Amino acid sequence: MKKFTSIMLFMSIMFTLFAGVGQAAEISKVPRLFLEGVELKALTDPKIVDDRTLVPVRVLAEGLGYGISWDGVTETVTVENDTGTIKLMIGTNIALVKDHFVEMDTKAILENGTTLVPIRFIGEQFGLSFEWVAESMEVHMTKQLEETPETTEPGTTEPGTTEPGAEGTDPKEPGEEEQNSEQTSIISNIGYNGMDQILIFHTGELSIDRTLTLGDPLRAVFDFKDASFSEEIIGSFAGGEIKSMIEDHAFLNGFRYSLFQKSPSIARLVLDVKEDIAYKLDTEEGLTTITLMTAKDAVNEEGMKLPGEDKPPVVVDPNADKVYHIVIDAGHGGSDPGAPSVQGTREKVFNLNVALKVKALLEKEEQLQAHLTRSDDTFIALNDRVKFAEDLKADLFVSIHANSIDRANITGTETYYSRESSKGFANVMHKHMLEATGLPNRYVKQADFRVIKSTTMPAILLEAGYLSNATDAKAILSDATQNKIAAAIVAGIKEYLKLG
Amino acid sequence: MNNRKTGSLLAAIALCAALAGCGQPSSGTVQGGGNTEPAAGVTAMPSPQTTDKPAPTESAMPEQKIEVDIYSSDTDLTELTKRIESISYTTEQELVDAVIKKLMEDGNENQRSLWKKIELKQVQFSQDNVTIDVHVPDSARLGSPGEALLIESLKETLFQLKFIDSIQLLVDGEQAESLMGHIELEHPMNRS
Repeated sequence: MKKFTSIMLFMSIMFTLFAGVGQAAEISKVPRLFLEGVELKALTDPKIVDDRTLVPVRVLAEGLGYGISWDGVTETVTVENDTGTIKLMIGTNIALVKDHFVEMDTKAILENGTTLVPIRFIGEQFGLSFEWVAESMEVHMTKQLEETPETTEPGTTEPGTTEPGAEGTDPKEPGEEEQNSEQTSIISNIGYNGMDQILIFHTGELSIDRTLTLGDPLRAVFDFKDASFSEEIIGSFAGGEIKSMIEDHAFLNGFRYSLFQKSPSIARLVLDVKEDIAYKLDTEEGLTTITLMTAKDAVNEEGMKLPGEDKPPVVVDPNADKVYHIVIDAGHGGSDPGAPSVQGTREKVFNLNVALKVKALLEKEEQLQAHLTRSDDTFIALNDRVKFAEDLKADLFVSIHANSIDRANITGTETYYSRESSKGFANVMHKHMLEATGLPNRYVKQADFRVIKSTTMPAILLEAGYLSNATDAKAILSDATQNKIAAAIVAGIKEYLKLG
Repeated sequence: MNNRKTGSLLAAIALCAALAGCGQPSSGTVQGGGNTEPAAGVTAMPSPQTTDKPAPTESAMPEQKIEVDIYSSDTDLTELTKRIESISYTTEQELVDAVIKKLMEDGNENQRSLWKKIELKQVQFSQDNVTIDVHVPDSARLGSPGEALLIESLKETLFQLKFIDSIQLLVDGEQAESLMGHIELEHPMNRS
């Protein structure tokens, strides 16, 4: 981050310098190049593009006594000297210097058959220093240590002469525009802030080329146009990317980034996610923040978009046609009758009745599919109930129970969760359950009951009321209240899933 | 917390041992808390005694006395409460039997046993493990919070005895998955 700041500072100084250069060059003349006092005559003139001076690479290389070759198929210029080779690809700002990728601040271009590269890049790589003589628009280069940034125009690159065949000397007006029409952004770092944000540090303006949602495994993709990575990052790519894992996050597994395309340069950021997400981009100078939330939480959030559509989630429900699989678990059964009741009806009967009523209601819901762990009076082991839900990859798990204790005065409705990730579901459901039973509130509580502890989806266990209490038993054993409870369970599920 | 409890328990044992060594005829000193009469349900049960060997003759060590916290449920079924019981014994098996018997009895109104209706079939102590075999009559079945407190009360109470490292709770002689259909039983439950 500190490094990043210094890069930014450096870049802004450079921009300032370029602006000066651009103005000086307003006299529409072609800069002339001098190497060690000797003018280099190129078939193609140097050119100022986006405030960068581009010089023909061939004339420079030959003037320095380096070998130069052109591969027309891959559109690659290779410059060789005794210390190694530099490869420049037309249309990209990535150069391969001694097998390392190096970022140029402008792309190499092909102009009338001549490769032009940024003079700054050439200077750094060829060990040249520059002097810019504004009045005469001359660039004097010497094979020395560098010194004067004042004349150095950051050259964008397009090495000059690639193809011997081509000629064409079009004088370009140097620096007529200050604005880069196609500004390159260089990303110097991408990090995760520990919350729900990804931070991208970069130069220039980072703009989105496109976003995508891809499945299996689910991921959100952000492509940034005309963006690449710093040399340092590119140098540390492993398998072409850098990958970071995020542990214990509600919906993020990690993120990775790579140079998706070299020409034009596209930087790709991929978020590995657990469910559909929505995002919002905030840009300040040199820092772009991607704020994330789950698509379902984003529905009523201002400014959040879905990757892929880039439409706000309010407009398009990301889960518009998703079918959610809901496990309805009638507690006990068969040889395990559950709690006795003061009215004689066993708990297992209540549980099954309500489960069947819930299933009937869910059959009317297009986006909800109910799966019963038991649909008759059968004993099912706790682990088998867990396995049933896991095998289904169910989205939600609701276990239906009625309570009992050896104290007839205890009365009320309780809702249990085990894992923290189920607490939200429990809270939503409890509200509906209280309304349906009309019994005292005995609150949402945490307890490690097997079926809600060992499942992995949001899972809750409902204790509708106390069969050991006369009032509770009378209420929850009535068909009317059971209908209300079943409707409440469906309402709780729909509210939690944010379905109509 | 457990450690502290164990610590004070050890101190109590040491003290009692010392007293016993002095030849005090430690007969049943009655606790102030006054729940001495055994619950009717318990007396009806088969004796938890499984070994005949603690010959009450002269073989054994002198009778010792210990104070043990017996855990039960509060009036609102929201947490465990405890009462102190003073138990006299000559062997560890005797002590375990007595503690489990107390666990199955009510204390005062705020110390209601969660185990009262559970039928105890057998208690066996060997090495550092207690195996408890029970039968759960349908009338004894509790809701999920009751079952949770019931299991907790057993562990909290028995693991005070430092010579117990594990509890094997069997249902009708079997290693059942669950006692009442909410909590998974570990076989055995180990001192954590």
